[in-house]
Amino acid sequence: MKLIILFLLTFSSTHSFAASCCGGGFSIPSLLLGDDRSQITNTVSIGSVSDDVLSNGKWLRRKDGNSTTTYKLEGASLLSDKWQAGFLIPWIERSATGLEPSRGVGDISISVAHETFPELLYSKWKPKGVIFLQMTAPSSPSVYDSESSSSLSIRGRGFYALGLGLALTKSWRMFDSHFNMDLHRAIPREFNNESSGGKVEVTPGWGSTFNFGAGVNTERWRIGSMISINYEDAIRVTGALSSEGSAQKFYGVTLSSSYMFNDENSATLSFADQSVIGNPSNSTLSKTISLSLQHRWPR
Amino acid sequence: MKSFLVLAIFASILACAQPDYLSDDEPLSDNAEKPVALCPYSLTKKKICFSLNWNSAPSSKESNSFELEFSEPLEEKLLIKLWMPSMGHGSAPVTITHRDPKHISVSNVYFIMPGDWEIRISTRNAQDEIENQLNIPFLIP
Repeated sequence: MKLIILFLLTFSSTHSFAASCCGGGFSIPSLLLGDDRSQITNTVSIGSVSDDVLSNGKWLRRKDGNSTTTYKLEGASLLSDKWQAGFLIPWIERSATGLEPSRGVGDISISVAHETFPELLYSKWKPKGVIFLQMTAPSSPSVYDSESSSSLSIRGRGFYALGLGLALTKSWRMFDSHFNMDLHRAIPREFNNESSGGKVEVTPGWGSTFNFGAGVNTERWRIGSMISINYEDAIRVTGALSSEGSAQKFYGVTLSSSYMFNDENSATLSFADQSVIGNPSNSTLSKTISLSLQHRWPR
Repeated sequence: MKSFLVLAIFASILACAQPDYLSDDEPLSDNAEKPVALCPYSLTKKKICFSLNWNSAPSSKESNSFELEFSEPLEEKLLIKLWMPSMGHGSAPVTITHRDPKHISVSNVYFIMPGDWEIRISTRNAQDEIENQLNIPFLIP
């Protein structure tokens, strides 16, 4: 049980860190995968964009002293024996050399999940897991709302998005592994501002995220790693200005270390780098360090 | 142990990223090498040639400005928009100053991130209809 709890903390605190150019991506929600009634997690992340990758695969080094500090409050609670609900509220502070820093709420998410794959009897291979549905709301300025001369004021994607996903876990003695994936789609919106020269309809496509991870556990510690693969369809714009856009691909590696103070409280330190694996395209790549503190209420 | 083997195999399939960094010699635009005398850009319906000259090398870190020199006086309303086609978004509006009928200064040109941008230049007639549109690509570091 303790192994699973340590693993779940790492799992819930590591998200697909945004590599969208402008204001974040779609992240996996906070999920109850153990035997707890509810949990709340506070995360502080400090990230910096290290590279920009063009749609033709060429890389540009980013040297503008940019930094994004994200404070995330997320929680999940059982609604019944099999159903749970969750939320995520980010507070984002962005800065760069020579520019006025910006801070504010990011895009807020809510989710529901169903324990579709319970662990009723021990099985060597059968994982435990949930299916979840998440909605993200455009509660912060996006690149389409802002007419600022810098991207610092941009903290969100600008769209309502729905995602359907699956999260699976399995542990064997001191080892554990997890897999989660989601498929999401944002709802097209109309924008009207001077930077686009009038009214435009912006149509995002489908996006998906895959995360694979594994860890080693002792009585109180867990050391783990995770690989993430992210894809976003091209964003098509029609109206006063038009463009077909290009698809985005980015990959990440996360290393993490978790410590369990007691059955209710745990901490995780993690480092994620999007510039070390895969062949990214049309993306900004970041390096991010995070510290999460989680409190759980048992059933 | 099995999970680690599976993960290691998968990781090796993904392979390390092999960054292909742009060299400092990469031209800013497709027209970087064309002499001004050969009419680098034109508004085709009007058959007016023009050149675009940056006052300093453009960058995403600061405000930029450039000059447009036309072969003939421009009578129509000129619109200039910054657009990043791969990402599907623009940037802050620019400031257009008419120095004389054949010379326009464009300032407050901000590229909110590095990458491949377009400067979209169009003219509108008296009925506010687009008559000419030209998209000039630039790679902004």
